[in-house]
Amino acid sequence: MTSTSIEAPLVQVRDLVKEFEVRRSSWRTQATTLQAVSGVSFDISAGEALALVGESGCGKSTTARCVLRLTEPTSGSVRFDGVELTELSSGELRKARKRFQMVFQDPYTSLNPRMTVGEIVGEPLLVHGANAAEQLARAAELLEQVQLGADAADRYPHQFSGGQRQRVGIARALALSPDLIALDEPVSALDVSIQAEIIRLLQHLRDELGLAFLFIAHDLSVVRHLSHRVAVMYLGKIVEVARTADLYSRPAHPYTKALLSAAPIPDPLIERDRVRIVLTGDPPTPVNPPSGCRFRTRCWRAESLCAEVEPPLIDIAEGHKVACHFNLWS
Amino acid sequence: MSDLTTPPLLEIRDLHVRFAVRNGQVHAVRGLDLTVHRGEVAAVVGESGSGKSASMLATLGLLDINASASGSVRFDGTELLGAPPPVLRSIRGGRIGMIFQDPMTSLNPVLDIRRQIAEAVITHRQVSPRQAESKAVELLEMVSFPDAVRRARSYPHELSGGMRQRVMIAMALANDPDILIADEPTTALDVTVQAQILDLLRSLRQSRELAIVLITHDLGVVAGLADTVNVMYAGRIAESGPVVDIFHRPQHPYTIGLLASLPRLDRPDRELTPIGGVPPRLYEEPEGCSFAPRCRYAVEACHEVEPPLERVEASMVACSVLPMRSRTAEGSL
Amino acid sequence: MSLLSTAPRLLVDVAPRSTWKSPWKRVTVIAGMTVTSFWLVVLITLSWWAPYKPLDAVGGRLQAPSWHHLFGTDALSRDVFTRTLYGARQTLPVSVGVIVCAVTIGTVLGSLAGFFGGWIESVVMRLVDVTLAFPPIFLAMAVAAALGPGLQNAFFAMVIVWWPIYARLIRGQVQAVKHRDHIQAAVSIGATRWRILRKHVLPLSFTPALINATLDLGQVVILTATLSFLGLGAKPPSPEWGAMITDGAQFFYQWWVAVAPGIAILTVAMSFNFLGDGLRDALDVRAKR
Repeated sequence: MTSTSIEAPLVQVRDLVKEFEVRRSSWRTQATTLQAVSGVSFDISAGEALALVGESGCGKSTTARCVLRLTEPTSGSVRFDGVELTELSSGELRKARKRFQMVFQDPYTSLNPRMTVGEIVGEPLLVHGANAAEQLARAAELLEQVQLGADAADRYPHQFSGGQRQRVGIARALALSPDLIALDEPVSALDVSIQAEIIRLLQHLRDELGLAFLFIAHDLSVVRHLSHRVAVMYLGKIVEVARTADLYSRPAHPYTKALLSAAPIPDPLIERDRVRIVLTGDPPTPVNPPSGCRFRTRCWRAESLCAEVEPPLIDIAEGHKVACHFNLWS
Repeated sequence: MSDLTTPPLLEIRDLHVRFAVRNGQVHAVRGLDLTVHRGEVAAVVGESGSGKSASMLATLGLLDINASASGSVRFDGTELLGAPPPVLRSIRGGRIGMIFQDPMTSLNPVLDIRRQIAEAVITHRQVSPRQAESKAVELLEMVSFPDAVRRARSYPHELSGGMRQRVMIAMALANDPDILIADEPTTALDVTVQAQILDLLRSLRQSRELAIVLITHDLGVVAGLADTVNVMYAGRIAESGPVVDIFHRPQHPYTIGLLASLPRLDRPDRELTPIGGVPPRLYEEPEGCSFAPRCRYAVEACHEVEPPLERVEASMVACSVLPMRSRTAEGSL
Repeated sequence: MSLLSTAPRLLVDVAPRSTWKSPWKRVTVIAGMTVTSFWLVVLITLSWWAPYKPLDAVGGRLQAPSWHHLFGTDALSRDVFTRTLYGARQTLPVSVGVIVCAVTIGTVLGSLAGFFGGWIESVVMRLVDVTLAFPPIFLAMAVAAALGPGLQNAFFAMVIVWWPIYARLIRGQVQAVKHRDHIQAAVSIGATRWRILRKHVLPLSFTPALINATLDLGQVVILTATLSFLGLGAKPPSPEWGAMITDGAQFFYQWWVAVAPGIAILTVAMSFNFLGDGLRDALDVRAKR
């Protein structure tokens, strides 16, 4: 991690924390806090695709929304190209948003049903002061770029299929030529045969436009096709970060190993002979996380140390960090 | 694989399901043929709108009133389609168990899980409430519900998604069914929990010789559990056959395309090949083969005549081009 | 068995928008439209063809219906048919006005409350709660009585009674729409809060209010008549339906004096209900994504 080198990362997230207040029951008014994100730090370089992977409730989506300040983080720092986003006023933030955009999971609710596709794709430009003619021209260009065709502009979202709507969402995110796009499970709501199209499109855009991605996903096979680095989250914390190839070939954290072994492979000959690590139980609730290492309650390696000391996220190889007391490679 | 000479447990022939919608109707299932033998896991695979769930609801007589079904569904010799409601009720939850995608909405939020499972037992058998409740705890133990004796009094909202799905499976198994119809049983679950539930289903089918109809869109789940695979497209079977043949020697262009478009954990460098286009919406009958507009192998005839299911090697395939076969034939020459 | 009753419903992709399902629905909607347009035409063209003047004494007192006086005459020898038709000029504009004002105030306050939350919401919603705590007729009577009789004061009274209904409705809608992803998307492109409220939230929240407004129109017609009937609305000689029923109520055997305005109220209220019902089906909010 460098602060002054020429290749300062595009995004620097440090000790990000997000707490939500939850009321446990209606008659007891005392609020309990739930820590969805508990001190997460990572960098994204320009043009790099980082994936946040984990199961539902691990805080990956909340992290992304905090990075884009769609949700206010409770504490921590998010620097985007040197600018501290958490300290911007709402007016400054609106201007800064030009450079980071988001693609949402559900292509049905993420488009305004009362606006035409052209209006949806052109709105970011309108908001940032373009005139109608510019907006029209750019919308047509963008729709070509996501392979929908410029004549889609006059139609409404409900006239398109899920995959096509997701393309509209991507075109909207591209409109202001951002440096970073956060993708929140962009293909998980789509049918299998459509997913591949969107993955291909995203790969193409990433390479063509040099975009940085913050990619949120639970499907490890999709992640492998789209990201340069992967961060695995469990219960609000990052447990392992590595380059994609390293993570899949040499996972170090027990949870990463379990995740990889639980993801089914669509080949009956391989799938039936796999030795799999099946975790017992479910992830604990973030309202009351386990002491020490948060994964210890489901971990087959856990010892008394794990309950007492929380393992720090440390380098075990170049660009490979793990938060575990044991060296699982030996 | 079960003995093919014994009569099948569930036999669906030429099943049609039509839904009345605002401007006419949707022909969601267009002549489905499906055979499930005793002790066999038959997967029904397809994308949303392929008619996989509709055909199972029709089988169970659970269609909404705006839907109509025709054809034949024989379960162990009894015709289910058009059977009187009491007959259907005794078979559903009796000899046919069901589990659905979302266990939360399928469970009653104001009854504890022991009562709910007991309820399923009492509905079909002459037993005292006490017996039914002890049977319920037994069932929970069978589905590896941790600490079943004590936690049998929990309410659905106190359980995680995986635990709820175990409760659903326990309820489905309450009356020793011959067949379990599982509609996307793991779609709502996380991968590590999905692995647990799949393990459970695997061990149950072995210990109880349970036949399972596994309805899913997830080919990974299919690969791990199914004996036979039925690939549905636009309301019909595109291809069906033994699981290894479907995955390793797919014949129908749709199956081939589906497998080529799938991102795979074990093959990171493989280029994904999308199928392109979208499935037909079935407001009107497709002309010719319903896959032809998206098919890269389609010839002129494909747009005119809908191909019937025909045997190709170990599979049944509805395609008049059969690109793979012509390729191997050329190769062998 | 709980398992069966909650089997998942099949979601068939929503067909292109169309109109009413059953033939009966179509009949009621057409009837609603016909009656409404009849009253509209009457309202506009009445002064050119009305057989008499509404306040003129013509012929004898309390005459039974005849070809000269379709609905007879009242105690002051005025033509009941003419007065009933003229009544539309009082009731309909007042009712529409009440609804328009109530919807406007309700939408503004309700959407602010739902969108911004915080103290704005607390203030608006407490006001709504207080108003809705009273039965509408009593509150309208109390306010009208306090302001003094007259159609204008009745108008204000009814707006006060009605706006909270829309404020509550719109607030609920706004809160539901607020959490859709496309609102987040609008935030992420840097749109201002006003723009988001105007372009992304309100257009999606307004449909139920529109349907409700049409259904409520019938009720407001009845309430206007009620207030006048009780002497809190239109004052005597003016031909207002409620006031005319008050007149007619004194003459049991001369039924026509009260029945004519009664039929008018009935047809207007029913046709607005039919229209609202049809509108709900046509815009079917639930089926749209």
